[in-house]
This record gives sequence, structure tokens and C-alpha cells, in this order.
Amino acid sequence: MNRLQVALRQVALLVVALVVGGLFIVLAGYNPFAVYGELLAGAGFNLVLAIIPGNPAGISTNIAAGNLFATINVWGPLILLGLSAALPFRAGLFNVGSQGQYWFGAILGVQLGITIGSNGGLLAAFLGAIVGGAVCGAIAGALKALRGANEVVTTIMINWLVVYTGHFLYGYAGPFANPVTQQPVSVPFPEGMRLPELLKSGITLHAGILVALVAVAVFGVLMSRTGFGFSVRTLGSNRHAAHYAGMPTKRLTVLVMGIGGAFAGLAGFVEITGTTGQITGSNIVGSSSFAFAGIAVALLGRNSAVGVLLAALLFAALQSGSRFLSGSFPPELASSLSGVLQAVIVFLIGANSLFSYLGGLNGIAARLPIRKTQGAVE
Amino acid sequence: MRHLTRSTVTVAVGVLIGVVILVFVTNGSGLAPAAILVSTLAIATPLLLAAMGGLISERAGVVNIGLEGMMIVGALAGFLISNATGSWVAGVAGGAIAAGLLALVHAFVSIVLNADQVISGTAVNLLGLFGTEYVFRTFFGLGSELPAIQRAPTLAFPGLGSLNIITIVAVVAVPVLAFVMFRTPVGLRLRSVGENPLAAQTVAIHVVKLRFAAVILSGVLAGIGGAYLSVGSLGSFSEGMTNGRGFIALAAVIVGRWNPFGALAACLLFAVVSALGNGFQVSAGISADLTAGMPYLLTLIAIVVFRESASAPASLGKPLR
Repeated sequence: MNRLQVALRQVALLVVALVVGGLFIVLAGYNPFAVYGELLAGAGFNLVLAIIPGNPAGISTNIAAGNLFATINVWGPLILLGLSAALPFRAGLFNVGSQGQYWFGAILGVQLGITIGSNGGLLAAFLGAIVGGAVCGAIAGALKALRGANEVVTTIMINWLVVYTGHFLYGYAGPFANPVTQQPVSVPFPEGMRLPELLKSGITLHAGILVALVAVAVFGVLMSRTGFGFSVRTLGSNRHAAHYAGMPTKRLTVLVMGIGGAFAGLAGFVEITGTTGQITGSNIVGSSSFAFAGIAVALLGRNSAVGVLLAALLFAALQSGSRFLSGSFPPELASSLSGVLQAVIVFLIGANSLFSYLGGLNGIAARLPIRKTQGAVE
Repeated sequence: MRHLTRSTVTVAVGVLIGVVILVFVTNGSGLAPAAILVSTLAIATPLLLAAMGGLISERAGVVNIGLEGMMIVGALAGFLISNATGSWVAGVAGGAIAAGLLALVHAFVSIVLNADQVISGTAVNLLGLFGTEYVFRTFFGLGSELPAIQRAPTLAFPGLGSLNIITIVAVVAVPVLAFVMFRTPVGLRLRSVGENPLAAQTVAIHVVKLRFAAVILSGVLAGIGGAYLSVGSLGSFSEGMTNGRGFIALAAVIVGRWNPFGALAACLLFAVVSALGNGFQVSAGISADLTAGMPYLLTLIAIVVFRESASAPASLGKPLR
């Protein structure tokens, strides 16, 4: 099966998912073609039509460009969340902890950045987010390596712990809540320290996407050009073979989960210092989709660098487009719809015997799950 | 017998820890032990039902990481159907059936299509989370005005307090399941399918059929657990109201070493910690967020302390090829 066939298969799968999503739209009493069209327009993809000479569709290029910028601002964090699942997947590990890693990274980064202030605050936030996410992921990795604890369960428990701790820290009169306004949000990340602006058309395009692109490049090079990547892939396809080849499987497990967590922490850094500017307690609680968005991106993108880029763009468009619907579909339904599409895509990927072709994912089937050989290789 | 001996120890330890915590903590803090006990059982109800479901599925060799998704589907279906029919029985039944159907999809994908069961379970969770959100918002928008539904009745126990009828069902389900699992031919077949499906097949046990039945039953139980949240205790529905209970139930199955009494002990332990947390939140003014985080921390610690062991079904997660 060559690359083109695999790509076509993923596209076919996507089409099926869109059809199932269309059924959901019909069941709620709306026209799926109109809704999908508006989602694309809301995501700013109609900019392509606007640059046709004479602009026959009569599209406002300013609005379309602004919408596109909003989509790209969402794209960056989604790429990073995708990587946070993709790297562990390649090692046969299932990282459902992106949500906790994202917030732990964001909280550590933002607080560190605010404390240090204008001299190097953004860099401190960047490093803090990497460390916070990595620690959060590495804990699950260590529990897996040392105690054979199922990482799906541990990462989800860590998610809830971080969510409740975060909600406490930024709650009413919480220790990190804004002492001036008494609101359950962090102190605003200072304007001068935010991620630099790249372009502006009503909505500002910030440098978050560059962070994400660099991360994708690092991931791609790491996986295909380094000994580390080779070890990770070996671990993913056969844990025992990796062990008998002398690879430090336990250390690799911790490292892989740690790096995955770092990607998720970076997603939090990009979102807070680029888009929202502050951490809100209610955002932390309402973020359960984060844990799964990365998994959907990674699976649809077959855990490859390019695949993650494309899959993340799709979900970014769905998510961002739903915010700028012009009235044919309630926005609150649109945001659930993009989650339903993720679910259908994950089902199809699971159901498709395509699974056996998915590079490192072979390892998951081989080591699944809780049985005595799992985790620590004695 | 090994399972029973070990489970007896686990139950004893669990109950002992529970009682010690209860007495130690309630002593002089103004919390009434009876009230804490009732509240513990109420909190344990959805966990227990989902854990029994997960146990059945996993004993048959199918990983069910989708309990959370099945629970939330049960909660929404229970709410919608109680609202439409005006009957809590219909609501609970509807919740059970809806979650059973979702489990059927999981069973088909994992047993017939030989899919990775963790991926399929993840999809079940996603579909549960967002599918219920979608359906709920279709009916009620962002849920500002919700109708009142008939709640499942409670029974009064003198000297203790009143318990929801679903709570009693959940508690009774544990010994029933243990009996069926370890003392009847059906239970023996179910376990054999999870331990060594090929051997089971050679003695004419229908592996696929039994696994299907087990997964669907696990969905039904998880669905009742979810319906308890909406129809039983709250009398309403809110998005994501299961709050990770499906995963705690799954952890209880692992910590309880795939034994009904072990899982019961684990569920009770998690529940007593939550109940005490709720009590303290009121009496001592501890942050609701910190007490709400306790069961998750405890689950994490329990998973690490009670290392996953050889008591896991030997063919768990492996499709029959």
C-alpha cells in the first residue's frame, strides 16, 4: 500500500465521517450542505474564492482574512495537542492526559512569566509550560514503567486532579486569582510580553503557529532521523524486542510521555500568551474535549508530522468556523458537532482494519492492556 | 478459590479502612456517621453499577474503557425518557437500553472487526460526551430552563436514613454477580472466554456470542448507573455530569482485581472519601474543588499501590482470531 493509497483512505474515512455528521445535522432539522458551507466560510476558507479576479462571490476579504487568522490561531494549539498524542502512540502508549498537561504547563508558565515580568517573562513562560507539561506526562510514564499502571486510567485521573486544582487556584479568592478585580481569572498576561503579532485583519494572527510548526519539524526529525526515534518506533512495534535489543524501555516510556506532555504544555502556552491572555477557572473546567482532540488529530493524521498538520487544520476549521456561523445553525450545536465528528473518525479508524498498517500503532494491539506482561519488562 | 480468599482480604481491608476513617474523622467534627454512610452509598451507586458492568465485560476478555461514555448516554436517555413518559421506571429502562445500544457498537467493532479495544472505547467516550451534548442542546439549547422529572423513589431505613431504590439494586447486584460468576455454569463459561477463548471454543462455548452478551450487559449496567445520576439523585441533567465516574469505576475493577467484592470495596473506599470531603466542605469550609479532587487522587494512589496483577483475565483485550 503506497502513500497515495493511504492518503486516499484517510480522505474516504473523512468523507464517511462528514456524511455521518450530516445525518446529525439533518436530525436536528438543518440543512447539512448549508451548515458545512458556512463552517468553511466561518473558518475563512472562502478567502480562496475572494482572490478570484473580480471577486464574483462578493466576499469581504477583510472578514475572510480575519476568520482565517482565527482558524490559524486555533490550528497551532491543535497541532501541539496532536503531537502530544502522536509521539506516545508511536511508542505504543496511549496519552489521554493532554488536558492535564496543557493546564499544568499553562499554569506554571503563566505564573512564572508574570512573576519574572518584562525581562524574559515570555521565555520563562515558554520554558515553564514545557516543564509543567513534561512533568505531568512523565508522572504517568513513570507509573507505567515502574508499577505497570495503565496509562489511560492514570492520565485521566491526573487530568481531573489538575482541573480541580486549577479551578481552585483561579477560583473566587483562589491563591492565583486576580487580587484586584476579585474575578476567578488570573492576572492578565502583560500586553508587552504576549506572543508577537504577525498579521492583523480585525483579528490578530499571532506567532503561535510558528511555535507549532517548529514543534512539528522537531517531531518529524526526531522520529525519522535520530536513534531516539528509532528506539521509540521499536518500542511501539514490539516492546520485548526493544528490551532484548538493549533499549532502556522504562526510561523511554517516561521520556516519551514526558515529551508528549511538553507538547501539550506548549499548546497551553500558545493559547494563553497568544489568544486569551489569561487563565480562566471556568475554561479549565470546560476543557474535557482537549484530552480527546489530540487523539483524534493523531489518529486521523496517522501519527506522522504532515498528517498531524493536516488533521489539526481540519479540526481547527470546524472549531473556529462554528464561532462565526451566520445564522443557519446554532453555534452551540456546531461546537458539539465537531466533537461528534471526532468521535466518528476515531470509531472508523478503530473499526477499519487499516489499523494494522498504522506504523507504531501495531504496538498497541500487541501490548493491550492490563495483563501481566504489561509495563515493566522483567 | 484463590480469588475468593484474596477478595475477602481486600473487602476486609477496605471496610476496615473505611470504618477507621469514618470513626476517626467524624469524631468531634460534627459529622453524623449515619449521614456519612448514607451519602457514601449514594455516591457509590453509579460507580458500583458501572464497575459491575466493566467487570463482566473484562472477565469476558473485552476491555471496556468506554464506561464513561455509556454512563453519560444512560444519564441523558434516562432524563429525556422520564421527561417524555413521566415515569422514572421508563427513564431508567431507557437509559439502560440506550447505553446497551452504544455498547453493542463497541462490541461489534471490537469483537467482529477485531479493532483495538482501547481506541474503540475512546470513540465510545467521545461519542457519549459530544453526542449527548449535541442531542441535549438540540432539545434544550444551553439548558437554561429544564423540566422537572419524576425521580426514582427512596426507601426509609430506620436509624440510618433513606436510600434510593437504585442504590439498593446496585448493592444487591454485587453478591448476585459474584454468585453467577463463580458458582454457575454461565459464569464459568464467561470466565473461560476471557482466560482462554480458544480452549473455550473447543468445548463448544460460543465465544463471540458470550462476549457480545457480556459487553452489552456492561453497557446496560453502566447506563443504569448513569440514569441514577439524572433520574435517581439529581432529577435533572447537565452536560458532562458523569465527571469521570466511568474511569473511576474502571479503576475500581482493576484495584479490586476483577472480583465483584474487591470492586465493591474499592468503590466504597472512593465513595467514603468523597462523602467525607462533602461533609468537610460544609462543616470546615474546605474548598469544594479540593474535596472534589480527592477521589481522583485516591484512585491514582490505589492504582499504584495495588499493582495490576496476574488476576487480570489472561486474554483481556485480545480478539479471537
